[in-house]
Amino acid sequence: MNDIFSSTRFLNYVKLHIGENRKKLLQWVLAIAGLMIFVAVIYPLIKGTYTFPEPGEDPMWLKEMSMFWAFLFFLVMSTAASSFIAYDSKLKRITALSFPASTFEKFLTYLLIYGIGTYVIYFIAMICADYLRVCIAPIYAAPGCTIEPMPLKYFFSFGEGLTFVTEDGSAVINKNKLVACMAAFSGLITLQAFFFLMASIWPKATFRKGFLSLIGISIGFNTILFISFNLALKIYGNVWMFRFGNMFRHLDQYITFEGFITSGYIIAIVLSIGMYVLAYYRFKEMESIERW
Amino acid sequence: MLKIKNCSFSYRRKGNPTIDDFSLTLEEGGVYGLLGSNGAGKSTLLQLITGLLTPISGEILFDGENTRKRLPSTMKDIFLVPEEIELPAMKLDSFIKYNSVFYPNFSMEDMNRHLELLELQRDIRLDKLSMGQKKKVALAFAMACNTKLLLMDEPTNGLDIPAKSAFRKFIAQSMTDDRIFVISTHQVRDVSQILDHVLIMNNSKVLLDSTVANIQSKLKFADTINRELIDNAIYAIKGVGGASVILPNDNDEDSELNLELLFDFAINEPEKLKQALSINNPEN
Amino acid sequence: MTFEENNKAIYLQIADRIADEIMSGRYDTESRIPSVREFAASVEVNVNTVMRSYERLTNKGLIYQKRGIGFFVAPDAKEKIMAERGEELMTKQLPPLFKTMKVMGITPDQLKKSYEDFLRKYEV
Repeated sequence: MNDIFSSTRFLNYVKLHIGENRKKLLQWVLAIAGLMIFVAVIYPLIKGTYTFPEPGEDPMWLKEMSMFWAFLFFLVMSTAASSFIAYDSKLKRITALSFPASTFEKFLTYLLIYGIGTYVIYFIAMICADYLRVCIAPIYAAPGCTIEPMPLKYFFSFGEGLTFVTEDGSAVINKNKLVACMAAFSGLITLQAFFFLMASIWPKATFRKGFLSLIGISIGFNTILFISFNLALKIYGNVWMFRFGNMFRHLDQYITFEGFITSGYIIAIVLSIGMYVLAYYRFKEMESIERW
Repeated sequence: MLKIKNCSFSYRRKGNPTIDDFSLTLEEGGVYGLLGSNGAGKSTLLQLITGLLTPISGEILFDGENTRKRLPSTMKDIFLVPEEIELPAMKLDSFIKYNSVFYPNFSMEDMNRHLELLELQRDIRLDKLSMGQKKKVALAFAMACNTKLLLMDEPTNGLDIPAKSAFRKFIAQSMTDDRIFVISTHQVRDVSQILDHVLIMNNSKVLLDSTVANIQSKLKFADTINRELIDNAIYAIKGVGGASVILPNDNDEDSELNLELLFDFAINEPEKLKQALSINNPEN
Repeated sequence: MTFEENNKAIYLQIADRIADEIMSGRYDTESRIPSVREFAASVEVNVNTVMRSYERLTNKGLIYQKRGIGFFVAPDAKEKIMAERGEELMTKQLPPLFKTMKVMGITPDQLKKSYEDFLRKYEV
C-alpha cells in the first residue's frame, strides 16, 4: 500500500471532507453568490453606473472592475484562513489526525478545496452574476446605456483604460495594465499562501490571527527600514542621503523595469512555494494539543 | 504487537513529565485494562499510542512501525475512541459510507448487529444525539472497523446499563488471537470481568503490568470479618465490621480479583505489590 | 484455611455452573456445549477466562473437544461430578458441621434419625 499517495484514498478523503463540512462549505458558496450578485447587480444601481446613457462599451467593464478585485482578495484570504477547520478543536484533531489517509493527501485536499476551489467558485459565480446583471440592469438603467455580458479579458484591467487595446484592427496589449494585473495576482498568490500557512499554525480563528500577524510583520519590516535609514543618516550624514536619492533617480542604470517586475514575480513564487512547504511541515508536526 | 520503548512525555517543557520512561509490550489476543487516577495520564498514553502526541524521548512501535509517523498503513489498523465524542452533522448512514472505506476490515454485518443490540436507527442525525447515544454510535462503529488495535478511553462513561452489558458482549465476541484491546477506565466494575491484563499507572510511572491469571495465582482477594485474616493481610481496607483484604495465595485456591482493592494497593504501596507479585510460583 | 465469604475466581464458578448444567441434564451426555466465545459473550466475560474453565473441565474428564466442531459432554461426566461433589461434601463441608455438632453434644444417632426423616419427606 502506498503510504504517500493513493488516488482512490485521496478521492475518498476529498468526499469525506466535503461531506463532513457540507454546511459550512455551502454557506461559503452562498455567501460568494450573494456578494457577487450584490457587486454585479446592486452596486451599479447604488453607484449610478447606468444613470447616464453612454454609447460604446458597457461602463461596468471599465469602471467597476476594482470591486471584483477587492472582493477576490478578501475572499481568497478568508478561504485560505479556513483551510484547516478540520483541526480547530482538540476533539476534531483527535479524529482528523489519526485518520488513515496520508499527510500529503490531507494537505492536498485542503489545498484543492480552499485554494483552487475558491478561484473556481469565484469565477463561476462572477459569470453567473454577470448574466444576471445583463438581465436585470435594463430595469434601472437609463435608456441608451450599453449593457452586455462582460468578456473575461476585461477582468484583467486596472483603472481606466483597457488591457487589450485594438488599434486599426490589430491587438496591442496595454503593457502597464497587464503588468499591474499580474503584479496584483502574484500578490494575491502570496497572500493566499501566507494565510494558508497561518491556518496550519493556528487552525482556530485564523483570519484574525493571520491578519494581526500580517500587520505585525509589516510594522516590523517598516520599523527595520526606518531604523536602518536613520542610522545610515546618522553615520554617513546628508551626503549618504544625497547619494541614495541619486541612486534612486538613476535606478534604471542598475535595473530595468522588466527585470524589476520579473524579480517581483520570482520572489512571489518562491515565497508562496516556501510558505506551502512550511505549512506542510507544520501540519506534519501537529498534535492533538495546541502548544502555542 | 505494540511496543512502548522508554517513552517519556510532558505537556510543558519544564515541570513533571506526565509519562516517565514507560516500557510496555502489549501482545495480540489481550484485553488490557488501563487504570489510573484522574489526571494520571491515561488519555495521554492512549493519544501517544495513536501518534497524536510526540514523546520527548523513546518511541512507540506498532507492528514495527513508529505510530507518530501516522502512516495510513499503520493507522488503518488503529482506532481510538476518545472520552468525548464529536460527530459531524450528517446521517449515520452517510457517516458509515464516508468513513468505512478507510478501514479495510470494516464489516457492515457487524455494524448492523451492533446497531440492533444498541437500538440505534441508521437514519438518525448524528449531531442531534445525546452524549450517551454518540458514545454508542462511536463504539459501534469502532468495533465494526475490526482494527487490530482498539483503544477506548472511558468507554462505559455515559452508557446506560443495557449498553454497558452490550459493550461487554461486543468485547467478548470480538476478541481474537490477533487483536489488542485497551480499555482505559476508572469504572472498574463495568469492565473487570472482561479484562485479562491489568495496567496501573500513577505519578508518571507504571505501577503494575500483569495478566489477571498471574495476579490470581499469587494473590487472594476476600471480604471477611475474621480478625486474624485482617491482621495478617498484605493489604486491607477496613469497613463496617470487617474488611476487604489481600492475602497471598498459598493454597492455590484462585479467587476473583477485586480490582478496586488492587488499584488502591498499587497506588498506596506500590513496592509491596511488586514484591507480592514477584514471589516465584513453582507452577510458573 | 477456609473463608466465611467465598470469592471463587470466575473461571472456577463458570466450571461449577457448567457442571451443574450437566448434572441437571440441561447439557446432555455427548451433547455439544456452547463454544468458548459464545459462552464468554453470554456471561460477558473474557474469552481466556472461559478457556481456563473449559481446560479445567477437560482435565477432569467432564468434557472433551472435537477439533473444529466444539466441546462435548463426556459419557461418564455425571458420575464423575457426583463422585467429586460427594468427596467434597465428606472431606470439606461436613467436618466443620461435625465440629459444631460435637460442641452442641449431638449424637450420631440423632443425626441419623434427622437424615432419615428428611429422606422420607422427600419421597412423598
